[in-house]
Amino acid sequence: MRLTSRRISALLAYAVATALSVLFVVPLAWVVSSSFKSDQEIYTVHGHFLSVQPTLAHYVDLTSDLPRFPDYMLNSVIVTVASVPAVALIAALAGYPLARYRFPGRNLVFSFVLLTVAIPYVLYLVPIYVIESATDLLNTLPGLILPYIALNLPLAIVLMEGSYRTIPRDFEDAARIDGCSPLRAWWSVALPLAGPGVAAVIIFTFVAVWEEFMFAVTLFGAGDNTTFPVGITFLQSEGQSYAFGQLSATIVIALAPALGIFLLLQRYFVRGLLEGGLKG
Amino acid sequence: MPGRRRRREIAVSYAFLTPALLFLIALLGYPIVDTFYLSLTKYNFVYDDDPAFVGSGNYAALLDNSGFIDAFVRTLGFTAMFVPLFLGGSLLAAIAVNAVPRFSNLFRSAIFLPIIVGESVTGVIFTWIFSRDFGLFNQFLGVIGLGAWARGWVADPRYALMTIVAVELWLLLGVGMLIFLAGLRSIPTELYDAAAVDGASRTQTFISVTLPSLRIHIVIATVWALVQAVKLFGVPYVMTHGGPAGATETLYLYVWNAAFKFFELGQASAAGYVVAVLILLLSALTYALGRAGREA
Repeated sequence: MRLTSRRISALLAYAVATALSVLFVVPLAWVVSSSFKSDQEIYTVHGHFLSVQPTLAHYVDLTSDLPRFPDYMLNSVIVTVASVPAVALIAALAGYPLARYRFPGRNLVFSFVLLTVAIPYVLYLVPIYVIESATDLLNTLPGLILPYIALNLPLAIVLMEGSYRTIPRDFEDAARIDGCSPLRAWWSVALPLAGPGVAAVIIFTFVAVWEEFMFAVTLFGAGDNTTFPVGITFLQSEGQSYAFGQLSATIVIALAPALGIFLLLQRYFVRGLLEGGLKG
Repeated sequence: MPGRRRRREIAVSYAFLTPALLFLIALLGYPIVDTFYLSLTKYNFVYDDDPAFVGSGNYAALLDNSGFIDAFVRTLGFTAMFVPLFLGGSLLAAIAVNAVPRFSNLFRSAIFLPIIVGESVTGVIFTWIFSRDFGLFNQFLGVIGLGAWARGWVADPRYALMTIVAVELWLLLGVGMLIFLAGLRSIPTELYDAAAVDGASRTQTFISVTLPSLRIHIVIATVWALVQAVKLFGVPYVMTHGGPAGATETLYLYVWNAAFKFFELGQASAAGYVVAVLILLLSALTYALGRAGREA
């Protein structure tokens, strides 16, 4: 009796989990499958999910058909490679005294950080646009990298502060007694122990920066030179709107590195999500 | 000597904080203040040389501005559809993924996968999937015999916002599922054993054990979903640009258009402040409710 009821539960769980998984995977599977279809097949053959005559043409012709795609990818890579380590380092530094020392202004600084975790991005955009317009930073890489570092710091600092708090301070005290400078105690004792926190910061910032759209389209979206999330919408809109095969191949190539990094670090993402949510 | 040590600690603390403070003050703190100042001015970035102070005029004007009011109501409508579906769907997904004896990680990753796609690529993919002639969705309707329902889903003002609700659920449900999964895994099994000993039915167990244990996770997921709903921007920007006939112009799109399409930075800043205060209030309120519920 108990066994059958348990078996029914399991079956029901499999049914729901499978149905939801299919629903979530099908759109992406459709993109992957379409990237191997010829344009002719996409427009004439309906009702076939998989390609009848698979072809690599869209991948082979990618750079000749979409000459600006490599620039979009390169910009996205530069912006990500510049901002993610900067956020990780600056937050790893800032979280340390917030977790370890009592100093005047500590609560003020931390309250401000918590406030900026909750404030929506749109509130920062107008003044940043005005500043960048006056300093000729609009449509330059630093003009996007600097705001990305700032926007991702608040959550990163909260995560690092929480991370240091989980480490017993005995190790650092021992290191200090042995004559280590505070910087040294932080770098060689506290920081390695806070590794999971750093990993959470990296994966969160990576996902946020790699996908960011609103700042990119505003500060770095004019003309031909932009990041991938903005560029893909140009590829879609300017007379390319029916080149779905080409669009699919582009999306597959752009998502592949993100997927790899994400699968590698996903458990830290979960951790960060919960800590950030519980605190904020 | 303690005085010297303490001074040293303060100096060290600020040395560690300096790089972060530079970024936070220059690129977040200053904009928070400056946006507020701009919200009290008339400042067209193209025509005006400098902002001209007008006091609370922009805020008063928002109340008479049908575009803003419509965007506000539309965002509320989106929120009313999105948040309950998000909470129910992610709780259902978490319970199912938690209950399967095997392949739990596989199911979890599948539902979570859209997170890496991002809002603009999601917008591009679903513009295509919901398109009238070559879209997967209409082809699917044809296959199951509902071909008569096929339409351009985001081209029709009656269905555009609903379609965007569906797309946002696809994009974001995985986050809710993860929040609830963590919650479900933190419930001690003794509680379920006790309920079984008492002869509680599955529904009774769910209502009296599972839901109360998930209170804090429900609060977190609700706040997150509310904030995402109010911040809705990338998907409608890419899929519809706020159209057709303004049917998907959300608050965020309204603010962005005011600032970067019409360059009315003063009005945009006032609208932006209203949105930001709304988000902060919603978050604070939900946390307060969650806390009050726990103490009761």
